[in-house]
Amino acid sequence: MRNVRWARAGLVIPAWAAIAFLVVPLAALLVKVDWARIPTHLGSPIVIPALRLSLLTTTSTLFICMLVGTPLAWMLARSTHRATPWLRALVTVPLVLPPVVGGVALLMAYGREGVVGALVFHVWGWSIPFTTVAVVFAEVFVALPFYVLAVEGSMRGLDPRFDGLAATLGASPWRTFRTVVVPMVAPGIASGAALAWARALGEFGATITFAGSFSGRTQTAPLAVYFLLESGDPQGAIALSLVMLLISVVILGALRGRWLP
Amino acid sequence: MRLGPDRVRAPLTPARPAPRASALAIATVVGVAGCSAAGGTSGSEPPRHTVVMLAASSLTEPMTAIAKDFESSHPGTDIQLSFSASSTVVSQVNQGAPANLIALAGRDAAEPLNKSRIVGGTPSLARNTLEIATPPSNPGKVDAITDLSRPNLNVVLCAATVPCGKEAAKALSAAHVVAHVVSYEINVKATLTKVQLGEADASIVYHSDVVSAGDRVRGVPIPASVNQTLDYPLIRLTDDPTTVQFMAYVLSDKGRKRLRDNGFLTQ
Amino acid sequence: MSQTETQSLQAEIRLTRGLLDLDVELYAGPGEIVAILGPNGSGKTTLLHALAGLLRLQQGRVHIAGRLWESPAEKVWLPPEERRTGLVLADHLLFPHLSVMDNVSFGPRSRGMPKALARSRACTELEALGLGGRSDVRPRELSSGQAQRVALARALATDPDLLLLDEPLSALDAATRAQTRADLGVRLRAFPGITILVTHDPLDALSLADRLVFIERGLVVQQGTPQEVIARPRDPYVAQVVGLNFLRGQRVSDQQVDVEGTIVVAPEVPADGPVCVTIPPSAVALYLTRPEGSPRNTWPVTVRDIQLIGQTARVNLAGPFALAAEVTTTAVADLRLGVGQELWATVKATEVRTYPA
Repeated sequence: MRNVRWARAGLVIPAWAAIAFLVVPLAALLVKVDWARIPTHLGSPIVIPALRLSLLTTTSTLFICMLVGTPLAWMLARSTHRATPWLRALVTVPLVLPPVVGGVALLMAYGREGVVGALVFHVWGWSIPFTTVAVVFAEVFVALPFYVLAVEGSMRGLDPRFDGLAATLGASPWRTFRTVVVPMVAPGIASGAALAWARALGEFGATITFAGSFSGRTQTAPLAVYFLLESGDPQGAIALSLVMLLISVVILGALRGRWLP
Repeated sequence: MRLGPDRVRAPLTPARPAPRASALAIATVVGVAGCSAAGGTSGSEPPRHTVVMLAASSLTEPMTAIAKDFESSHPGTDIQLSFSASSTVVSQVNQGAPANLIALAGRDAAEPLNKSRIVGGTPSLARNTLEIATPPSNPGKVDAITDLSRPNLNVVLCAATVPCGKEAAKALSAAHVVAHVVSYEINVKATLTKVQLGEADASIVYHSDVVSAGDRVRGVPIPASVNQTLDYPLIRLTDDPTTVQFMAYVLSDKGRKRLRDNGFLTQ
Repeated sequence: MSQTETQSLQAEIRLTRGLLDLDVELYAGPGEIVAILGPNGSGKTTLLHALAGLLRLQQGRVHIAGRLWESPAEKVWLPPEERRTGLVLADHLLFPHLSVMDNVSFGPRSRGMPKALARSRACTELEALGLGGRSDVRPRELSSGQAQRVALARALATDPDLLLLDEPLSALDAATRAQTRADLGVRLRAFPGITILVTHDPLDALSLADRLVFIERGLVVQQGTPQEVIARPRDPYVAQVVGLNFLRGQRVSDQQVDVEGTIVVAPEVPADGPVCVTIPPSAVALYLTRPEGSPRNTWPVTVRDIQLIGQTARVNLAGPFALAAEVTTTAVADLRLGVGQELWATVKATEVRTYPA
């Protein structure tokens, strides 16, 4: 009995240390905020547009991630081609890239002088940077790897015999994907979606580098927090941060209740 | 030696005991590189021959050169530079960031500074004026401040919270021009980068930035009647001899020459 | 062969998978139940997957119920969803997110049947297997036997031409297996299509199948009706499945066969050449001392191991050749049988069967 307790102490202590490390700054945020004057702080003209923009762009990002990320995850999960591990590594590169570097890379590719962007500008006259679309580009760039990795893990755990069985029952590959695979990996999809959405919401470096900062068009909530801090309004920054925290907790909490069995 | 915008290479212990933990938190948020060339000591002052200076982004090129000159003519000294928007510098100092010397763009920027930290006077380091910068090929065909209001132009300015942004707004208002702005950047160097990359058709930056960018940007002068001049105060925060020495060097002819070479105006 | 041309299933399967080269010809008539037996790795599952279209042939052809399903030479290949097969595996693999009803109607719905019609078809199948009342539950609430029956219903609901069963009872415990085997037998006999049943278990094969096909290392070693195979196994594995001692030897005379240097006495040894010899284990009598009297097949043996199965014991012996004897448990006690014990085994000549190899 005593041995078991000591063994447990060995694991429990670092676990609680980790929890404390994460929770204390969040608690500090709650303690330091000037509760009485929050409405004033949130009344700054850049706050509401920033929140609205963030919700708009993160929703679009999530939609795009699920649309293109799910087939990609399926391909990575089922393909036995030799190049697949390399492809998987490539997809995870944005995870390790500093976001600002990601922003620079996006400029090099899709900026007005960029490899692809120059062509787009030349043919259609569209310039992608400084637009809301650019914000979505930046968010998808950083969030997509999260989604793909989470979903792929879930799909790899799916017994491949199910695919064959569904085929013998007469289901086309598309029908199998839709009615068998996707429902069975739904928990993985949900957690991938939550991760991707959260990452997109907090995205700063790539956004400010590629999309710039303009209230209502490209100044997302994290950018607004930074600008509030810089304009000598730390309380405003904290207030907006708390709003973001509240939104995240509510949405992630709701997702959790619905998707996990 | 400088490391680049928004990175503070701090000694392991602060210049004076930090009044709040949030001081170090701010420094960390902005991006501590994590190493210290000076090496830590157990004292509460940085080692005697190190000077930590926070300066406005526009001073990047001249201050880097001046610091290098000083270090080579005064062996054993180490000037650690960090550049960011003046408002960032002020807020870091107010939060207790360990700095010996700061230089800001414009006296207005010094307003929110915690006066109790200032030691001695605040002489003027240099002056700067504004200038329009465009990519060398001038894709937007910008030749005057009035061109900035054209609706299909990508104009990028500094954020209104930084001196460059405030002054640009004053100049535009004096010229009765409403610029077609697509982005407000966090400091003047970021603004300049967008121009250099060709993403912005035009921006309003400091004359010194146009000079130091050389042939990577093209400058369009702003008429003197609407142009703004900024005075850069040099503010000392500690009394140690090396800082005093360095400050004197900066204000000397050698320092002033470097500043003029980079487009600043000096006495 | 004109006989095979009238068969409903005509398959020549030739493919290589890993280290296995599969080369099998399979024929079956309408409604026939064919059992495929063989040791692990012999290619039984590969054969099923090839018939289902989950593996492609390198050479050969698959022709069922008048339709050509696959022929590399003629560049024909029907994907699995266009073949009319039903597949049941050892693990039921019911879709966990669907109810029993939705699982069973999955096939008909995938083939375009309207929902109501598909559900009624599914109902029919479930009732035929005694599961009508459980159509709304999730698979995880079923017992293993029930789940396996649902898997069968799901496969049959599409009215397949070919039903493929891959060791369908092996994941069930002994009692459930017996009951499910019985239900399976009833259902299969009513099924008009062809059934291919892969199994390890001789009881499955002997009680359910019309014909047995034995595969070893990718090749067919013997095939025939259960009666034929039981009477005349031609391969050690086959003999093991039907439970007979199996020896190979050369004819010496009308009544003598030379098996690895020892003479075995048997009636009516076939003329000439290599001979198969079978001895039922129950015909092997064991004595502590060399017996006097008539049996001319008497050999010294050593006990290798003993297995008790109910009231009988199967004693594996080492001697001039390997033999298995079946004795009562009383005899085990009387003889004080133990591993390593030296005994004498006798077999009456009339119990020895011989036939050409």
